[in-house]
Amino acid sequence: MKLLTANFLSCAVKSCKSSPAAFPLHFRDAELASTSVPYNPVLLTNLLPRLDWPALVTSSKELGFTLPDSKPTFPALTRPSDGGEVTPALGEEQETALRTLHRVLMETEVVEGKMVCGSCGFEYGIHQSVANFLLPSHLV
Amino acid sequence: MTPSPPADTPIKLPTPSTSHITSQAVYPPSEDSYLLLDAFSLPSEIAFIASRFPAPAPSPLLAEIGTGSGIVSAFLAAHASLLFSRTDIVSVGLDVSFTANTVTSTTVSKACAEHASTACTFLDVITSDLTSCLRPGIIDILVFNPPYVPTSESPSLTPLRGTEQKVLVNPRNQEDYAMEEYLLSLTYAGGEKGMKTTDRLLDDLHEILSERGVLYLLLCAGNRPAEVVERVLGMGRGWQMERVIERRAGWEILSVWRIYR
Repeated sequence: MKLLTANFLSCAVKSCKSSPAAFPLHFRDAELASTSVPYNPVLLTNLLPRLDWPALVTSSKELGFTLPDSKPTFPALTRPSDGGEVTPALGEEQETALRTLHRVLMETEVVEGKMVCGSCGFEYGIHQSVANFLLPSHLV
Repeated sequence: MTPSPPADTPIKLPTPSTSHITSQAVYPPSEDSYLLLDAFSLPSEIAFIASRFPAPAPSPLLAEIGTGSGIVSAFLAAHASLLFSRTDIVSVGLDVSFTANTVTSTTVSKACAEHASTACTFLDVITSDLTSCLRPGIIDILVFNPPYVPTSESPSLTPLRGTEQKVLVNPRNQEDYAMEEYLLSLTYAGGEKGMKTTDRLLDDLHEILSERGVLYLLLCAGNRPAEVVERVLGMGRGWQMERVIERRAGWEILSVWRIYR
């Protein structure tokens, strides 16, 4: 499971959905791997506005990565439909920041481990990179 | 005079390979899967999605419930720039079966590697009952080919809950055969009117989709689509339900609908 995915997940227990403590789920005993994902700067810059940055900082920290405290801003990038160069061209500093985000969000994979709900305490297992959100019968 | 071709015929795009599926217990690509691929390949649907999610509006989140073989998720992810007019899309696959999830993962990675220049970013497969693992209100494009066959009973998920599932391939013993039969029953058995699972999704749809979100839902005639339309319109708040495509498949009449507000 990619680190980025954690930004889209919350506890599956119905009464937790509205609880602020149920998001983000907290990584525990995570075994990490790095997987190669094609770099897509347009995706990163268009994805950022919809991400919960504080939650991302928390998830990253739990997996050993430090992101800036506040959400970085980038110009909206576009790639022409013929697949040419992305515009506008970024400065070296911004390019480095975007590549770091790519590595942390897209290429960091939790292979084995758990995600724990801060509200009800339920632990979701991650096994062979697949998180299991099927609740036991007594929690449905 | 020769008749002109219908104005709206699906564009031709390669179907993802599922040759790695040998004897895993998943729903094989079938008429309903192919109808979904064709629904998204209609020029009218491509135009609808392009106008609803114009770049650079924030990147859409695409999710499929019940990925099975993964053929639909793989097709949508691999051909994103042609079907959605942008590649800055993230996608997830949700299935109650761990076997289906591992198979889907392979189907999608193969298709996206083969069509890297048009593919979007497929994030993960997740073992989940419907969209219960996701934060409310974040899905922009949701695809569901439900268990739609009307049956006297619909199987419960209890056997899968509270356990760590294994990949079920090449069943060898009685227990494996029983599990295989059960997993396959989950792929089609829809209970009364074949709507048991679909009804559960529609009940919560307003909390599942984003404001700009669209559900693509496959129905068969036995689901009584006219009654489903009435129900969706009755949800108020501007909900709409429109037929995208319909096809006779053997004794079935299958259709794909879009539901949005």
